[in-house]
Amino acid sequence: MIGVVEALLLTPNEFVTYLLNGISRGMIIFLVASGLTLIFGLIGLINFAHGAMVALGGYLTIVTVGTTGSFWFGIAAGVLLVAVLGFVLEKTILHRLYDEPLLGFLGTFGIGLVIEQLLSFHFGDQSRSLESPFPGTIDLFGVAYPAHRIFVIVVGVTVALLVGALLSQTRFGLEIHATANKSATAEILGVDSGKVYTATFVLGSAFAALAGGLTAPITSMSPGIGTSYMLMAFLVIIVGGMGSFKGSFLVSMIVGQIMAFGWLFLEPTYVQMSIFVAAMVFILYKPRGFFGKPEVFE
Amino acid sequence: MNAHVNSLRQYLTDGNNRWIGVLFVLALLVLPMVSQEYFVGIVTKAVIFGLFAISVDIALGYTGLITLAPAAFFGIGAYSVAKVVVDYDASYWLGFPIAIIVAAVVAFLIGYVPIKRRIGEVYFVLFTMAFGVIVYDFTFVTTSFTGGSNGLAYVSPPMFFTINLAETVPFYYFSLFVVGILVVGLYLLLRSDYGRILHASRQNEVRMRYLGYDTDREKLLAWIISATVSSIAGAVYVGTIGVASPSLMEFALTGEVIIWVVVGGAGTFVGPFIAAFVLSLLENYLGSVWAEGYLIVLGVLFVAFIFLLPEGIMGRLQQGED
Amino acid sequence: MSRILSVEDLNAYYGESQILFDVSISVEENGVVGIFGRNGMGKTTLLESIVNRIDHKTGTVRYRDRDITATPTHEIVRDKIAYVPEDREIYTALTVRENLELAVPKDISDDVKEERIGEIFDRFDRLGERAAQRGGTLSGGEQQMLAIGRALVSGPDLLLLDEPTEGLAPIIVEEVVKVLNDLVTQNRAVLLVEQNITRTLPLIDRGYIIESGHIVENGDTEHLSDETLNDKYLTV
Repeated sequence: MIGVVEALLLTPNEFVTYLLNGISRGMIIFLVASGLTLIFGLIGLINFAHGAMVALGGYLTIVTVGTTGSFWFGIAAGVLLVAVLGFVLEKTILHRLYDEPLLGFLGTFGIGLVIEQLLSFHFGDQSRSLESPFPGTIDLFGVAYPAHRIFVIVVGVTVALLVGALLSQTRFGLEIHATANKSATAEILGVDSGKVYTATFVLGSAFAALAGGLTAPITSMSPGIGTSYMLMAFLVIIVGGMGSFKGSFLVSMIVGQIMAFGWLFLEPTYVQMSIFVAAMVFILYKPRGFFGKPEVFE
Repeated sequence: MNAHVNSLRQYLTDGNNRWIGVLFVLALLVLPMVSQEYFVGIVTKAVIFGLFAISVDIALGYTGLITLAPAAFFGIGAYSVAKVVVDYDASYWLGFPIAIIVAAVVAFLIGYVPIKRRIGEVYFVLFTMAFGVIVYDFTFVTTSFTGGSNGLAYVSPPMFFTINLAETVPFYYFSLFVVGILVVGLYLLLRSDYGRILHASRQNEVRMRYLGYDTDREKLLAWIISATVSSIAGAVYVGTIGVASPSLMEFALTGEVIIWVVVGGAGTFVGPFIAAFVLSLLENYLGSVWAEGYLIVLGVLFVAFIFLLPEGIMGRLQQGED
Repeated sequence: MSRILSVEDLNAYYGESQILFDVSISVEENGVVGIFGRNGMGKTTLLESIVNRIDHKTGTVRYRDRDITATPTHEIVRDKIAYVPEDREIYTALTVRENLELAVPKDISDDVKEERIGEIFDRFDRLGERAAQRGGTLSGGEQQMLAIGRALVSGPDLLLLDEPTEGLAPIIVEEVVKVLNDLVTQNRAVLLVEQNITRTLPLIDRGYIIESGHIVENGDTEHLSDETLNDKYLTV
């Protein structure tokens, strides 16, 4: 219990730093989870290719930055190319697999494997990193904090607000809700459910790529990097409540904080293990999570 | 394509073609006399992976429990033997009952609640995934207990009377013996009343419940058997590589074994064994010419399978053995 | 009068079992046609076949001069056919207004959309009062109104109604029949599926009787009001 003492002895500056670390970490998890929530929470597809999409987005960003020198161009290229890949995959293979959760899982699992292996084939197993367009630090609450992480936080909040608005304020949001809930009914109201599925998958994949691109300057890229984020994101979605966008945002933030402060008490691996244990308990006893309500998507 | 694969499968599983099986077993038995030693070592692993695939098929194909924890149980077996030999300096043979007991107890603890509560397929996948990650993390982090990232080395199989099991060929026969016994035993089990109940429950669980069968108990039993056999496969396997390390518990191995089962035909018993055997030989072959190629080939093959004959795979998964 | 809808030699299946056998029916432009039969005779399957909602069927469905047998459901609906399914299929977690908005075609301007939703709220004042409530909080009768409202906001030329009075309290049934009375006098074709012939006969121009997947009778209201037919095919 030395940790408790240490935690109590944190200076205000350290406290703020940990807090911000937790927020930026939570934002990355949220970005990964946001794409998954769309795909898993709404289409019901256990998309095991999502982690590979994160890694692919990260590598594409790194490569494009290497040739063009522009971080912005790199992020855009990563997001766009992964979105195109998502489109092609959905149109050719995945749309056939929605009816059977098992087939969807197996199919995306295979696709993810191929993407990850191609990445490690092409880039080797050693990790790559990237310089941020915001190299310095920013003074925040008296703490000099890395500017890139602040940038990540800003992007995360923006995405959260945009997707929240998309789901609750737009016609497309209505169509997503209708299709996710009962696609046969959506069809008799004139909604092209196939198109909604495609668009949702593409959007979700784009978020994965965005998460990958944003992480590249923080953590070095390796082909398997997305997988651990993806596993965490799956659990975040469950604890947050399937289909609840607010829920996955909130739980991402909580998990980020647990990871940021948890290591004062426990080794980081133990922190991760306890998060997973918590998720298992949720799966068994509260499968709808904190915020999930039947048939509600928000 | 579809028809071709199905007829091939039928051909392989057809009773009239048993002689192929007999021939295969004979070939395995005479292999060390006609082959180089290093290849015998490779075949040893292939046979063990065949058993591993069958064990996973019992959960996935016969019972419909889609598990992402096979590597965890495989690892539990490997670590049990390694722990006994390396850390406690006890008999190699003691490792096996321990592997069986630990796997059975853990499988019971993990499987009881989700099976009783009948959580949905999707949740079972995620539940076992979380368990797999926890076990993997555990081997990494408990350095004093499991050796951390270095694992537990070196496991050397002992003398068995005058035979030195640490040598490749004797260990090959030892592996064949264990795998053979288990495969025959499991085959008989699945042909027995228990197998028929499992099969019927897979077809129509509600009806079986009305008929008075405790389908949850049957499922739980199948789950424990599956985990235990996975563990035994891991326990034998550690003798071939000499070290139990976290890499055995990696998600990659779970992925591979699921691919073997699905490509071989879930619920066909023989299919997963053959797929595991052939594909792990392919892995070794490709390993020498194109190291990264194996998983790419495997992944593409797998996606192609799911894409080309989803009905075939699903049919197998849903109906169990025909 | 020219036909807006014709179904020719329709055979429909659920899995292995055949539900409809060589069914041929038609609806005239602005005509009101009834389909009568007991439960499980294939009435719902017939409507589902028209909007291409079942997997396995043979035969032809024509709408105006187009073959829509294989057209995806959403495209059929966008072509001004509205379908009110038997169990209403209200989105319980969406508000009344959102349920209606969803059914307004995308290419309609916001002004027209508001106008149409306003019309529905005028027609069914209880829906107007509950515009911001979730669909799941409505009573059965209100849900039926919402389902009909949802069909009407799309501005259909052909309305397919599956047992709109089914499972409602008698007093609500009266209300729904009043609404239907209103609907059938407007410029629009209606295909109405019902068990209860006496209540529905005043609404329709002509009708069919379906028995075990076969059309066994058809004719005008006078022909269908024959008591022996009623006894033979419709009373339980």
